[in-house]
Amino acid sequence: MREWRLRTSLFLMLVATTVVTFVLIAVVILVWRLPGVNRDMMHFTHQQAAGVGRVVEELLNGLEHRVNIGARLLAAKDADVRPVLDSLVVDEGISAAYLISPEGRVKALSFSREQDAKVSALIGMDLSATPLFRAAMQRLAVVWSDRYLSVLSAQPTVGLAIPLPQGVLVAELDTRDLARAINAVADQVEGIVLVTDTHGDWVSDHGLEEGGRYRNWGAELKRLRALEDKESYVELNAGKHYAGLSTSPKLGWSFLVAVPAHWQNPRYRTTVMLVIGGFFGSLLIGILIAPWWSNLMARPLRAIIHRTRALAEEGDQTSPWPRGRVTELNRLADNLQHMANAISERETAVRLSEERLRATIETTPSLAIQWYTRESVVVFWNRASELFYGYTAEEAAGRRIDDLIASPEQGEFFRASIARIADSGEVIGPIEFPCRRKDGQQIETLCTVFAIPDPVHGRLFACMDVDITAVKQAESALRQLNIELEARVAERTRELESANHEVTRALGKLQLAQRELVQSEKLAALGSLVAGVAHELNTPIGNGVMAVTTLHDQTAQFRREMAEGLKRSALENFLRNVEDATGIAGRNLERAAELVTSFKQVAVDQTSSHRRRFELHEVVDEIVMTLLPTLKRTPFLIRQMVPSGLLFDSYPGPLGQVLANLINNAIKHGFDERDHGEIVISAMEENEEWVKLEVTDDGRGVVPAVLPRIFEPFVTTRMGSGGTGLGLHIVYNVVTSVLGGQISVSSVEGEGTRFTMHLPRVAPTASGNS
Amino acid sequence: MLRRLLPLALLLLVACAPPEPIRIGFIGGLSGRVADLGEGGRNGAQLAIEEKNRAGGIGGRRLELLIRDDGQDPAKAEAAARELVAAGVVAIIGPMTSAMAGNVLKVTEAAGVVAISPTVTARDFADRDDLFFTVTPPTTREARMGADFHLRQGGARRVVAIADHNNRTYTDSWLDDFQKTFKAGGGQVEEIAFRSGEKTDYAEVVQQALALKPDAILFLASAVDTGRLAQQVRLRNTRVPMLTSMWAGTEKLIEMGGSAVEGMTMHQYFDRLSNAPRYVDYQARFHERYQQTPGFPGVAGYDAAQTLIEALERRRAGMSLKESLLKNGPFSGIQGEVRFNAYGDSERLPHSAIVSKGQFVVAE
Repeated sequence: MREWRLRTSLFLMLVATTVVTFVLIAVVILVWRLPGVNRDMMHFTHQQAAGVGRVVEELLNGLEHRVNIGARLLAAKDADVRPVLDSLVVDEGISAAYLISPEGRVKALSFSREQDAKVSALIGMDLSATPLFRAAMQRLAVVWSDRYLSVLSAQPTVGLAIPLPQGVLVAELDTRDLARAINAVADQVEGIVLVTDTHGDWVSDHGLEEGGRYRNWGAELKRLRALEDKESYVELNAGKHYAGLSTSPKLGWSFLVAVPAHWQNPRYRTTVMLVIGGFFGSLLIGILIAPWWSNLMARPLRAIIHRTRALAEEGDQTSPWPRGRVTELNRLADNLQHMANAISERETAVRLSEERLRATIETTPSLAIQWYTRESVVVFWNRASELFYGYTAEEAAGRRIDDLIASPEQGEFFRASIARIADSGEVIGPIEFPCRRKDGQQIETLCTVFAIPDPVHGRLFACMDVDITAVKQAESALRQLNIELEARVAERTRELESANHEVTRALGKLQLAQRELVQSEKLAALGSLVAGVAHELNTPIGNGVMAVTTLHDQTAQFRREMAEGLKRSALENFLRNVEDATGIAGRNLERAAELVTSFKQVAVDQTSSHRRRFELHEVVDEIVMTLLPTLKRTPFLIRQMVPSGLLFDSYPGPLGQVLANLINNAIKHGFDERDHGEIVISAMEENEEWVKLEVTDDGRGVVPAVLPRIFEPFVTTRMGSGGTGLGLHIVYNVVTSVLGGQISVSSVEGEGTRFTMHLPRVAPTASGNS
Repeated sequence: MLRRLLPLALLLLVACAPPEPIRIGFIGGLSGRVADLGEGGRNGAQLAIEEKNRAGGIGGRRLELLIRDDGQDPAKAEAAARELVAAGVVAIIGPMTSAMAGNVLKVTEAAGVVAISPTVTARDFADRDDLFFTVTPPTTREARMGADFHLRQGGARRVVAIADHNNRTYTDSWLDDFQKTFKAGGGQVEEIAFRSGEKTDYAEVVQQALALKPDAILFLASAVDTGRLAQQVRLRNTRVPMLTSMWAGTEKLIEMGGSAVEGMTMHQYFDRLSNAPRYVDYQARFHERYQQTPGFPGVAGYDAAQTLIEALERRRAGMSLKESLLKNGPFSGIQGEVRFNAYGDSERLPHSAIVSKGQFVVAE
């Protein structure tokens, strides 16, 4: 495809626009205007011809009028012919007038240009054969002749004949005079005027070439007459003309007015010339303006191109970008500047990246990287490769892999691999590739080969090797070690298995012993509980028994007194005694019933890990009450500081057991051999879910050596003196497993011990009953 | 593409452009008192050309008739001939009168252009191997026959010739031939010369002639002059026989002469009253075209043009027009074939005619 300079194409565009526009306009003008010019001109010629015809007709009318007057005079005054004839003849009009006898002889005549002698010679001439005389005699009317040669003057003449009683009056008009008169009119006419006689022969003209005078126009005029005024053209003076035609009714003469047609016509030509002039004018203006304008347009663009080249070739980033008056070009400049900056930034980034990469590749100590061509010729050889293979980069460059580090078979394999990579684009490796160093030593490498793009070769193939010689050696050593280790492990396992077996057996024994101990501890606890209960019940029941016994005795006494005679005082005394006794018995039995109810509740709670909703302080109260008989026999006080409103959805039985165990533990161990002591049970809400419950005593405290193991089973300070060493273990188990809380202990020897429990308000449901 | 189309377009343009017309000149007296002869010849020639053009021209080329007036002035005739030769005419039809022929031929002979005259009959130009052809035979035979006629029929012994010396070549030639025969027959011929023009005193000329007491008067003048002279003769002498040459043998003679020319005799090659279909047809065509009868110049002009056209058509390659005219005859004339002798002179036999009741009537 042909390339255009912007200036050229702009130039051509402007010129083409001008030309095409004008050609279109020109076509419209020419198509619309030229036929109009033709019509106008034809109309014009017809007007002109009619005008000439009218003028000639007027002239002839005037002459005819004059001759008519003469004829009337002659008809009236027969005698004086000559003066009348003389009066008719004037210069530049009627050249001769004569009277012809009915026989055709000239009787009298008057000439404008002849002497009398000559005039007299003509008297008596026979004019009977002349067409005019014949026509006048035939028609007996005024007759205009065609052009004819005058018998009298032998000049081309037009005759007017008026028949009279005494003959025919003929007035002759020299056609030259007539032609002069017509020419006077024709002079006013713009165009060629041709006057012909009836036969189409030339009479006079105005502006006709000489050749045209001598031909006969009859055929042309006939044709034009047939055309009327449509498309009437005539060939004149060797050119086409618009023709207008009129005919004199009197003479039968034709008046042809012709103006040059088409190109020869000034109006036509002017129109065409204007169009052509306009065309060339606009073309010229286009040609003048277009270079200037296109230069104006192209200059800023050239500046941008120049600037771009400076950027591209010299890397000129600093000089300013040209700005002009064309918005788009300024925008282009801005965008190019942006682009240049962006490219420059990107180039820097790429360069840095490349430097980084290159430096990394070049200096990586343990990764040998080489680039090969498709023919396995080395292109790049990094420092690690030098170290690995002993060849310097200079030595390696340009040599094939099998000339360096590989055997010929490996070389073939390598090239086949490269071909595969080139085809499929896959990455081969990592594969193990044993190589030969320059010094002949074999080394093991792990090699990865893949394709990378290259501007020169299209593609290069990068090979990244890791030296795994050491790894290989370590691997074989490790494999040896592993074999030994496995044997030792098997031996140890066997030993452990037997030890484990024994431990399991011992553990079984221990667990059995533990279960037995727990069982005995439970029985002991039950025993002391039964003793406590019995003791509690003993008082009210004893009181009741005593009251009833007393009543029985008094009843027997009353019976005896009644037998002696019943006295009123005795009856009243007895009734009083009955009231007292039943009152005492009733109160004590109520007390006993209350106690039994309380015990039953404890028993129910303790035996059936019944889950229910309860208030903490109620449970604490119940436990404290059950323990009160025991405490009554001691100097120790129990104080509870449990606020109400701490609702639990938990297991009250196990909780009571925990509290009972902790209180018993304090009494048995904390206050051992002491005469006073106080146990405080306090609780407080930690949050919506958790409650802290503390049991504190001010007893001896726990020996620090024991403290860490205090919740372990069989830990007791009173082994052999009644303690089972399971109390706190049970507490621990219940708190952690059944209630889902935690328990901790803190103690200072000689000052007291504090058990702190964190209990959830809602116990975990899946808790098993231990 | 454009380079390939351009020659083709040019070729088409050339092919489409009408071929140059064949130009033919005409010289005759078209103004003044002898205009009737010139106009008749011109009309005949123009009609022949127009008819040929309507039939497609010669070999596809149009014929163009360039017409010039000699105004009966030899200098003007010569200028006209030069003009026509310069315009590149292949031949000139004309001149119509012998007086012009000398000057015209001076130009045409030099230029190698053929001239065919419809009406020149002066003997001066006969029997010459030149480029001048005459359709009407030379005066010799006509003049002799006229002389014979009057010697035999009228018994005239003394003839006065009134000759228009404007056309002296013709009149001298004619009169010379006439005299030879007439004198041989024992007659005597006197000549009164005049020059036709506006100031011509016809009465004076006629008086001079009548003063010589002629047995017959011979007019060697144009139709108009002859008619007017005859009028003057008859005004003074009603009996003297009059004869004239073919020059005056046009319709104008009767128009101008009226009853004065009754009985006037002449010898001519043209028969107005012929019933020959070829002539009748021509007459009709001529009338259609010009609203008048052709007369002898109209026929002669047509014959000259027709002869020229046929010679041009029959001309073979390498053949000159003169050769064609000489070898390719005879050519079709309206009243009889046109046939040239080796010198390019037509050979036909004239017949005698007499004006009777306003018409030319063939005697014998």
